[in-house]
Amino acid sequence: MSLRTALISRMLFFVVLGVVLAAFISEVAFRLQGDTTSRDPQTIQLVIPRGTSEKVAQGQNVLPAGQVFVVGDVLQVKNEDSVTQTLGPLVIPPGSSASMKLDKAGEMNYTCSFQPSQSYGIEVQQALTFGMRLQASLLAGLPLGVLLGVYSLVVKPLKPNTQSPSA
Amino acid sequence: MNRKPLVIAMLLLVVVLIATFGYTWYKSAHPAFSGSLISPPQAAYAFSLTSQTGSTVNLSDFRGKYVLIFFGYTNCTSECPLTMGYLKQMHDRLGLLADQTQVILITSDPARDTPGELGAYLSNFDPSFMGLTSSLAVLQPVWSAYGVTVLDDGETHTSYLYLVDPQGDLIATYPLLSNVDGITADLENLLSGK
Amino acid sequence: MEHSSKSSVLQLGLLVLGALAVLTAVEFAIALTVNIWQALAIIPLIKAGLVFYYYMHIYRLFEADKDVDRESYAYKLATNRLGLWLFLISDSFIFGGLMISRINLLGLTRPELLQVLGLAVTVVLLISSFFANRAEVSMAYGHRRQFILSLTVTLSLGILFLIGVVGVEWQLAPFGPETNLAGAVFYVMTGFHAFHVFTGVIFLAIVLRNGLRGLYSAEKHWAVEASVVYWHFIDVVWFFFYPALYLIGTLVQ
Repeated sequence: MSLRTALISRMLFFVVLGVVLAAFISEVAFRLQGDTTSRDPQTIQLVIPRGTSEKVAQGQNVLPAGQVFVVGDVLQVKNEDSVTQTLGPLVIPPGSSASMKLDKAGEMNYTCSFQPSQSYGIEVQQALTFGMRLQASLLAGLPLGVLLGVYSLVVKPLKPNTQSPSA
Repeated sequence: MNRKPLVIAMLLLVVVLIATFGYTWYKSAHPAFSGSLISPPQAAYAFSLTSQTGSTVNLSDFRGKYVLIFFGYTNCTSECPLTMGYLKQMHDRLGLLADQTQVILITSDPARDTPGELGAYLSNFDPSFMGLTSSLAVLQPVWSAYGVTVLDDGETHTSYLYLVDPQGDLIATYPLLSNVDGITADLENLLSGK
Repeated sequence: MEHSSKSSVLQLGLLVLGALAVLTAVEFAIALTVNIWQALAIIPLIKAGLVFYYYMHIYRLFEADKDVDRESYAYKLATNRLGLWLFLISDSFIFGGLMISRINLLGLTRPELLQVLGLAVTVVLLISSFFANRAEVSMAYGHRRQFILSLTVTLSLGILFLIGVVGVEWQLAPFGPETNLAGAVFYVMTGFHAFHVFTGVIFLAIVLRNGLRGLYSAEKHWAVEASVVYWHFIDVVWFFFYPALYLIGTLVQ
């Protein structure tokens, strides 16, 4: 095989090795992290049931203190109560719904009208979907592979077959 | 070295141009809405209040126009003048279309905001803007219907903008405006039928 | 050497410059009007493809091995080319990393810069690539004077680019690398690129000096080819950095 072919096959081998190595390290790290959100973004509905405003006026909690979402989720608030409710930038008249897109990661406390504490905690996490982990493995694996390949040339130089022996 | 890659490159450019302008044309025919849509739209709470000229004004008087309702107070130093300023800019930008809109300021501080005060305040913005007040007993149900929290000194705790359509339904709300582009674009699109 | 005549090769080089200029103009027009980032991401790829094929003649890497004699000049030339491209791949990982950082940190926002200046330095670099190609082709056909002339123009335009970016844009920018995130990203990206332009200028200067001394011939001028291919690589990097910093997205608030 010529020098060119030998080099390309060597580099290809190490690029594949690099990606496999990066994917392996990434997956192990992911498993060790434990429970994290790894679902795709979707529309999540939050329903404010009938009678919430009366219970809240008496200091009772009707809805949970907050919720965890994934970047790209759409939060849809459905108001089945008899008075207008608000959550952060949303105003939801009785019998209607309003939505907002959650596209920034972070923990936010929105002012709301359906909690005695007047605040609702929204935590938006970065989704670690399989697709994302694959992308990361490729981005890290490619340069790693090229690096390993170039180093391998020092450790074990290429020996292409030549027809004429070197003088 | 031949000319084929050059030709391919130029063809790709044409494809990119077509795709770009196709996408832009599609987006302009189906524009995004910058406010927060209420689905399904609900009949906006019909109020009957007193304007800055002393006459009685009902929400139903504005059927056929898009109404923008804001709850504020004249002694507000931050959010209210900011919002009214943006609404004035929007009004100017809409030009002739502005005749199909109506901006209404409903006070959250009836003790200090008399019709005269409202008139003086709104003259800083636009003569078409309407300021409404009434007694505390009449205003409180309006505040709670629109989800407005009013503190003891008349300050509003929330600063939403409410959009009512020509049929009297509440169709969208806006949080505190940070620029005039979104709301102007929305009204332009609505008024041209998109 | 080349199957076609020198004038047809040079003419092709000019056509490629024309194509690159049209692509850059379209890029700028799209940024000013509809500003759709997908279009602004594809156009640099087309530009890069044109430069890789016509100016950097990447196909030479895949020419059939004419000589398997390891002592022959042709063999050494082929090896040199492989080595150069390996180096360029490794260099592109740094630029790739910077690009990915910019995408992740800034998203669809960009720093506030002087658009006219950005377009001007881009045009300067583009024309310098044209003259670099002209210099290499002239040397390949043994026309020493045209080679010297074209290389001198390339060098001058390269220095002009540095003056435009480091001398003007950096001084006039309303932010520093410590002001905000966009500032840091801008200075690191343009800094790395400008450093490569600087080393490219040094490389071209050495080649120019050697060329004036008659060290190169039509048959053996690897240093000319290497320096010019490196120069084109720097231009390709700018094809991606320019829209990323000047065109894509809305101003950072």
